[in-house]
Amino acid sequence: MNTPLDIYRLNRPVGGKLKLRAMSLQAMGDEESRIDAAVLLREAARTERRCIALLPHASGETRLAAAIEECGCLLEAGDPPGAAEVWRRVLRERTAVAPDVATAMSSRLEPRYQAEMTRFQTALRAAPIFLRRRQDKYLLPPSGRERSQLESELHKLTGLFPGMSGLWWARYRLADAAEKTEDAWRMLDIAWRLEPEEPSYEAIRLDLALRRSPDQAAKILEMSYSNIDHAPAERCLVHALAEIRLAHTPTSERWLRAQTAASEGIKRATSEGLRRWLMAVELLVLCELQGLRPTHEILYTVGLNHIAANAEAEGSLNVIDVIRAEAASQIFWPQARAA
Amino acid sequence: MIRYEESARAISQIMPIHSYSLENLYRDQEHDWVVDLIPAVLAWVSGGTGQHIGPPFPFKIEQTVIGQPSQNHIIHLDWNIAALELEDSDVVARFTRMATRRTPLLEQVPQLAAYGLALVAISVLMPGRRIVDMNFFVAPDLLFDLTPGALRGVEVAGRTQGGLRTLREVRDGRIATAKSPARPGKKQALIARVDVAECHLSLWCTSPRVAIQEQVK
Repeated sequence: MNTPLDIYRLNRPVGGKLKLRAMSLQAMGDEESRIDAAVLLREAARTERRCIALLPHASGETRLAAAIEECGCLLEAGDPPGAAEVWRRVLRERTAVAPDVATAMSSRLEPRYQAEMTRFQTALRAAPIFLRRRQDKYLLPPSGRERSQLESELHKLTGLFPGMSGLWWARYRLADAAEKTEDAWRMLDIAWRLEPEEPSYEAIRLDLALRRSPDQAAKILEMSYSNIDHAPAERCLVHALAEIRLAHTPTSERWLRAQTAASEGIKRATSEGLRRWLMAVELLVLCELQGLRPTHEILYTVGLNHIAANAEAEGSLNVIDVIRAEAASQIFWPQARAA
Repeated sequence: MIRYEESARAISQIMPIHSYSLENLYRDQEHDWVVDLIPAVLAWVSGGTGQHIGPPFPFKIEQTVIGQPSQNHIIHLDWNIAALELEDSDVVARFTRMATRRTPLLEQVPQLAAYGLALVAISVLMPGRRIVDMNFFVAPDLLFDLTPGALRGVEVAGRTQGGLRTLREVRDGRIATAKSPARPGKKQALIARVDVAECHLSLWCTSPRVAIQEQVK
């Protein structure tokens, strides 16, 4: 049987190899290589955290070393806010180690951290539009000249800090609003690769794929369905909606897959609102499978009374359209985005 | 007039001379630890000029093992591009991009190259020992054993200029002067680490081509 130490020994070198490959890519210098390097470094940081979590009784030096490596990976990736979060852990772990040893251990990281945070603050000050709008949950794209200035600011910021997924998400929002689908896809894809555990990115990606190309969406759906039993609830909801959208006939197997996705999502829903939308989708699919015409009654049944009332008041007769539009808007906004 | 062979024989009596072909790293160490280091070694050792300066490149290495007198070695570093391409078909393209300085991140190249040269030194001077992991932000850089609390490994540094004087400063630290602040040495920092059971320094300079390989713990 493998002990936690065996698993640690097996897994930690995976992170080391990711870091080495990332450094090699960075030395290439071009934008794509730097983005690929950032993706690898963020994965290396996650690996570092998973590995140290295997050793709850590790010594102070071991915990400090792990925090330093994780923080360093995020700095090197170009994600100063991410590094700042781990830096707090570095400072905490330092207290468990002799002061001279702690100073020596963090001597490589500390000057780099300070320099990078200064560079980040300077860059933010040079991006006034972004600074003003970054607290906007939806980052609603501005219009006219302000939009082009925001685009220019974000372009510079992603060049300087390619590891910040929120910046790429913001660029996706602008490109999507301008109906530049290919650009939107690229920006979103980078955000998703940097932070694959963010359920909203995966969900939006699926939605965008549907708009971009049904064939591509079908392929992504195949991959998504293969592990739907472990997927976060947000992905289950978008997956179910995508299956419904691609189900061209009442007998399509996609209805059954939509039902599976919805019921899996209900098990893992992290909020009451999300759970209700998943239940609405499940009821909608059951109606279709039994040959019944779905009505707004579904929304009342799961407790989405205000949505049902609004839809009826606006004359939205097709409940499928209502669910698709409203449910998706619940989850498409990642938490604590850019900077 | 002393002929070259006689001269080489005379030198070899003073210090061992080793010939090492870079492609042998794929035999002596795990492929994944080698493949991303080779292009940087080629670029750094050949001077980063992009001009063809043929190997071998001799490195004079000052080796110290605890409990033994210091010993100087010479490693003639050589390579066969065709053999390297068998392991990494992109090696020439990657080397060329680094060597012709189209990369803005030049500090990465000496660092990666020093890791590669440290692997060479390990393979020549510590035969049989293999790297199992790497650190990038905390010492030691190259690990033989990653057991928490009993790490065994090699701390690496690369300097483009300065020779042994600069490498000794990296090892022993620097006293503060009017122009520059004090800098602690790597050796004392490693000795103070209770979670490190064994550690070596592997410090490299390309102009002149010298190195320090020292067991500090």
